[in-house]
Amino acid sequence: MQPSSPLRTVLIKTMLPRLAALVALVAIILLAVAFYIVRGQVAEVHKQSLTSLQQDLSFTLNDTTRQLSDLAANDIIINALIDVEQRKNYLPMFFRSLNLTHSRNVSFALFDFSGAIIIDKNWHANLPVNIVQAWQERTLGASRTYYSVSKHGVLFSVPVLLNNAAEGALVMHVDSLQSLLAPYPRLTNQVVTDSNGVILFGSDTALFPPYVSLSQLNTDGFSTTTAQWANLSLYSIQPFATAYRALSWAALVLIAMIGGMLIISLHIVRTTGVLAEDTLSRLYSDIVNRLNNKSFKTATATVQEARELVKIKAAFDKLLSDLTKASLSNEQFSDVIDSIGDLLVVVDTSNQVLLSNRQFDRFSRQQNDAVELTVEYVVDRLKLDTSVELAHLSSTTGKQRFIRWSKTALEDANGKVRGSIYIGVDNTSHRALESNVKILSHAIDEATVSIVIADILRPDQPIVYSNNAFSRLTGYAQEEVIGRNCRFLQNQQDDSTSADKVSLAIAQRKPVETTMLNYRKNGTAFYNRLILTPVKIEGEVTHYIGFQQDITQQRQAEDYLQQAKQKAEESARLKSGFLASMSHEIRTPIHGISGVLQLLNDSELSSEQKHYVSLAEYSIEGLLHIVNDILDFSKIEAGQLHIEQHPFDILHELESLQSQYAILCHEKGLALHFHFNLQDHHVVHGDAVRVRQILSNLLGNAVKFTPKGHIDVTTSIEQKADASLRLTCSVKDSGIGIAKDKQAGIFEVFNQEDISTTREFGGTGLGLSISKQLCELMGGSIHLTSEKGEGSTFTFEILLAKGDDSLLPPTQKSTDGAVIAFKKRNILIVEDNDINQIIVKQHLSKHKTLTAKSGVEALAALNKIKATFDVILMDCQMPEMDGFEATRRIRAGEAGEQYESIPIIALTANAMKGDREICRQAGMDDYLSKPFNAHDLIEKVEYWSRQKDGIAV
Amino acid sequence: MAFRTLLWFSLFIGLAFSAHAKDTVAPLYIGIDADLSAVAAEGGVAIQRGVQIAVDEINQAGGLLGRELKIIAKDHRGNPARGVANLKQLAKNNDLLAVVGGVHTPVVVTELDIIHQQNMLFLIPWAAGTALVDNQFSPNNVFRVSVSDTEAASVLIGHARSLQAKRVALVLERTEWGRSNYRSIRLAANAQDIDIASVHWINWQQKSFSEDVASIKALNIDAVILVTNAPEGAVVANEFHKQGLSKLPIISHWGIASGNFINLLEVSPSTLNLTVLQTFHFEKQTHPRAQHLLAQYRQKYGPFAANAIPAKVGLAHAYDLVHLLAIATRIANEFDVTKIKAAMENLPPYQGVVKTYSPAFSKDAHDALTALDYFMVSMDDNGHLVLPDNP
Repeated sequence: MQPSSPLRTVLIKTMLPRLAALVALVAIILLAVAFYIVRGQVAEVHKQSLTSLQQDLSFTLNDTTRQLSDLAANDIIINALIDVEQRKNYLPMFFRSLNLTHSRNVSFALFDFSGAIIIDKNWHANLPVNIVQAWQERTLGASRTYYSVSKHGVLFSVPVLLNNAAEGALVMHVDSLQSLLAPYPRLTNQVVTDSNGVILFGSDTALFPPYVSLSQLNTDGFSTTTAQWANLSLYSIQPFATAYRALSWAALVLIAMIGGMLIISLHIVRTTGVLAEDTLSRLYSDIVNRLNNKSFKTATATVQEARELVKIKAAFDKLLSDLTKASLSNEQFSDVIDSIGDLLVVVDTSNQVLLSNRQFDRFSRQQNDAVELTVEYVVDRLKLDTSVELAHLSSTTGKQRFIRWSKTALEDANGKVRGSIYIGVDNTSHRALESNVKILSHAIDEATVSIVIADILRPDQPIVYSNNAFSRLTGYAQEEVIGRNCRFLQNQQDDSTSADKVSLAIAQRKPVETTMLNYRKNGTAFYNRLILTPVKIEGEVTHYIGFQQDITQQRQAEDYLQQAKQKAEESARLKSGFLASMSHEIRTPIHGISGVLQLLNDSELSSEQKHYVSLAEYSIEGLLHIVNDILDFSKIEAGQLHIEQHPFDILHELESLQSQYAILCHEKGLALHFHFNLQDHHVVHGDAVRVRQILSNLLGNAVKFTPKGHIDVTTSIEQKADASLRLTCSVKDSGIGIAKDKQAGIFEVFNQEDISTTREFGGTGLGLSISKQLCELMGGSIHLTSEKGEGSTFTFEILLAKGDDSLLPPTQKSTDGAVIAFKKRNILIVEDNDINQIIVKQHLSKHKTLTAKSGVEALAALNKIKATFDVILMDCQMPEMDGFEATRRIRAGEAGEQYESIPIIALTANAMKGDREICRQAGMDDYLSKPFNAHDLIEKVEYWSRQKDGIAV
Repeated sequence: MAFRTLLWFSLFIGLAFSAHAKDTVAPLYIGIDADLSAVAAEGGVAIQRGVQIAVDEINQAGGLLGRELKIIAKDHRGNPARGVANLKQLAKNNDLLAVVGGVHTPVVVTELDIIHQQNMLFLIPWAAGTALVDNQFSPNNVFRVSVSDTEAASVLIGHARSLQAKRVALVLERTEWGRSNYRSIRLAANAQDIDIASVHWINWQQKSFSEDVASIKALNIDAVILVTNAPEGAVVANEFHKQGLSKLPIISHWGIASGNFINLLEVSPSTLNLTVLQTFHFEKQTHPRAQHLLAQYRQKYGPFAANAIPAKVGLAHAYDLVHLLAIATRIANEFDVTKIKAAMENLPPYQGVVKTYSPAFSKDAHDALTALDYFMVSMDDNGHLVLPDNP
């Protein structure tokens, strides 16, 4: 036993560290609070200092500027600008008297409007160019005041105004900000620097000398606050020692207080300890005396004892007496049996409960609230057996519990049976577990998915389980599989990529999903979609579970689809190619024929021959119409038909159609009426060509199928809620009409009312189908109401966007109307096709033409031939160098500067969308699609020649 | 007669040339160097309009020497330094025929050096300083159709005499113009036995004149002769009114007619006893030439009443000057400043708007007008100059 210390030492030893820690904590908190407050005060002082510095700066600069402005407004100064001869008599005197600040290093100068000095006072300021430019721009240029604070000093400039504009400037320069700011006591050290940190002003020049970079000075040990004002940085600087002096005093006082408190506390503890020591010593001696049956009365009785001590003494006496009577009680036994986890009940021979433990009581309560009933049930069941498992259904919770009961005879010391001991072990959770396993096992056995489990810890990782689906899939029975590695399903000759992937995944204990070629027991192959998942038991992967699926059919379907897709794409490509070539190849000969017919028509012919030519021209027009229809339809089919968005005048389009069809109707004796309700939306955004095509189609049909009577075209535009426009147009005729049962199919491809119609009226049967598609492409629809023999009404709707006049391209007015003198032009025709060349040449026979067969020849011609060409007609596709390239080169000046902006008109057989854009991008001015007629060609040539001449058209 | 034939002949030649020469031959330029925006903008704009009308007439008749005439207008804002800069810039133009100056004498005085240094032909339609024309340069490149201060002084003093005034005070602007008048008015006063009781100088843009008016009031004089521009003239007149001297005759040189005097005046002119020196007035010069100018002016610049046209003297002087220049150029028949100058000194008689010049200039007299051409007018409450009721 260690020698024990006296109580006061123990008290001091235990209390002193805590007390010290507590006091230190309080001291730290107090100091932190004090620091926080002092810091706030310091920040406030800085802020006040900066505010006053800023006010000082602002006031000094603005007030000086104002005073200078007052001076500049002095009529002596203004007069001096005008009175050049005599100003020397009064201006110097006025200037000598100038003084605005207390600073001695001030200079003044009066400048004229151009920035030349008229007179100065001490002006020796050597200012950098940027400051000079700045004040001159601001003051002489903008007639405004200006000041600049920099390391070059402080510059003020104010305009000398005459009728509110500067005719000169009065400029004042102070050599430094230091000398401008008044030296008065400041809250803290104040420093002003420029944007580069160079000191322009320091309230204490010993610490912060001007023109030194602030960053070069050692500012350790200083508390600094900064603010930006204009392009200047303002600093308030204070030594930490000064700033936190108050805090150091607070710390000293606190330390003294802590010391004092510690001493006082020590004294109190020590005194208390001594007092307690005395009392306890007395108690000890009392107890010792009592135990030794010595007299109660001791000398200490006279000493006044603490009340607690007296009570302890009394309690101690009682305890002593109780102790003698006490023995080990039954309670201990009871505690033991209550602590047993199993159920325990002891009954006498007449099955009356002698003893039951807490577990049993609780169990009985949960069962039926009566111990006797439980006992009766158990005793009854254990009459024959000594151990049996019973199922107990609780009437309160409805749960079933499984208890294994065992019976032991209760014998007394003499071996006589006094009753029975029943002990119950609760097997409920064990049973539930068993049941779960059974369900899972069954489920896996009967699953339709093929499942195997392999033990990967054993050598060769054999299959330890396979379900019925696996046997159905592979044809192998379970017993043929267990103990073997999965490899037996594979063929050594097959590609081992998937197998390697599986091996690698298993080695890394990762899940894997793959497809591999496997073989059934009967040798047939199948694609096996295999999903392997690691099974982790206590953190270690011991097994893999595998799911197999036969995806042979799916694989075949995928391969088939892939091939079909490739074929379809190939077919689409062929179709696009065919379209493009057909467009070009058919149009070129048509153009040839059309051109030749036009030429023929212009030559001397007998009236009979003229009639034949007009028949041929009519046929060519019909052929072109059919080709265009087929081309449009093919484009729609190939998804290549795009709706353009250009501003156009809808009224103009409608009126032009009206005039076009009025002739046809007149010839046939039909009345044609157009009705408009355009709601002022004349200019709209959309595809004018397509709108015209639809209406043209419907009008053409109406004329064709109306032997007599009238045709009415009604057009209206209404604005929708989303600001787009809905154009509704209906064409009503009094023609042959269409039977009800034929109306449904009228918009389908190659469908006229019946075959006899085709014979009677002709046509491709594509027109209505194309119109329908065009309407749908323009966000609308087309429909028909008709009665056989009573006429038809076709109505279509399309969506358009709003436009206005300013968007319209300037129209190329035709030359008719205004009489313009004919002028012979020089025209270069670039065209590789001989026939087309002849046709164009003939059409333009009134002008002087020259031909070139390629871009190369065209460039050569432009460079060599002396005559100046007015217009170039350019075929797009040519050997050697095509029209686009030739145009780009001409625009780049390869044909000489004079041709850089010569009008170039493209001639192209390509009718596909985008040609016009390509021509424009290449630098061409206009575009003629083959076949074109002579009138269009001559008009375009005339228009562009006159554009070149600069005559307004 | 011989001159007139020559005139017609040159006009015809000009026409014949111009038909096809216009496109190919570079134009000739007349520069304008005047205050177009500051204290005498009205005067500057009137000068510009006079030049423009004359130039348009000359161009319509086929131009000069077969070349079109064009105008380059420069604004000197009354600032001599700007005026010199303007002339330097104009001198760079090789096709510059002449420069027409503006209202301010101080500007022209400062420009005299560069005018002669660059051998520019300088025509004055307004600035009256004596020394502008009677300068020390020989040959002298300055010609003036305007008032000359020497002559003006005798007219102003003469007017004072006609008002029975014995003692007058002078209020002069503190510039070369003011001093030019001081010299000539003193001489005229001596000659006509008028006592100059006090002389007061006023700075450009001076805002207060109360002390001077107080001292004038104390002197008990008969009339005041005022030689200032519009802004200072208004300050002086307002102060006379304020100190109860509204009835004191103010005999003003024409400076106040060059700017917006009426807007700065705080009293209506009829309250004052104000007369202004002029050389031209549509009611005074009523001959067809003047009527023609009035019609042209109205056609170009709007239907003004004849009296409401601001700064008419500048308009008429500039118009006459440009026509005189055109005649001289045709006589010289060559674009050569020295030859044209010589022609200016030997012009045939010419019926102008202001008067019939017979002739306008000679080798020794570059001033086209004399005291005989000057007269005094008064101002109505609209600020328009009107002929006095009893001339």
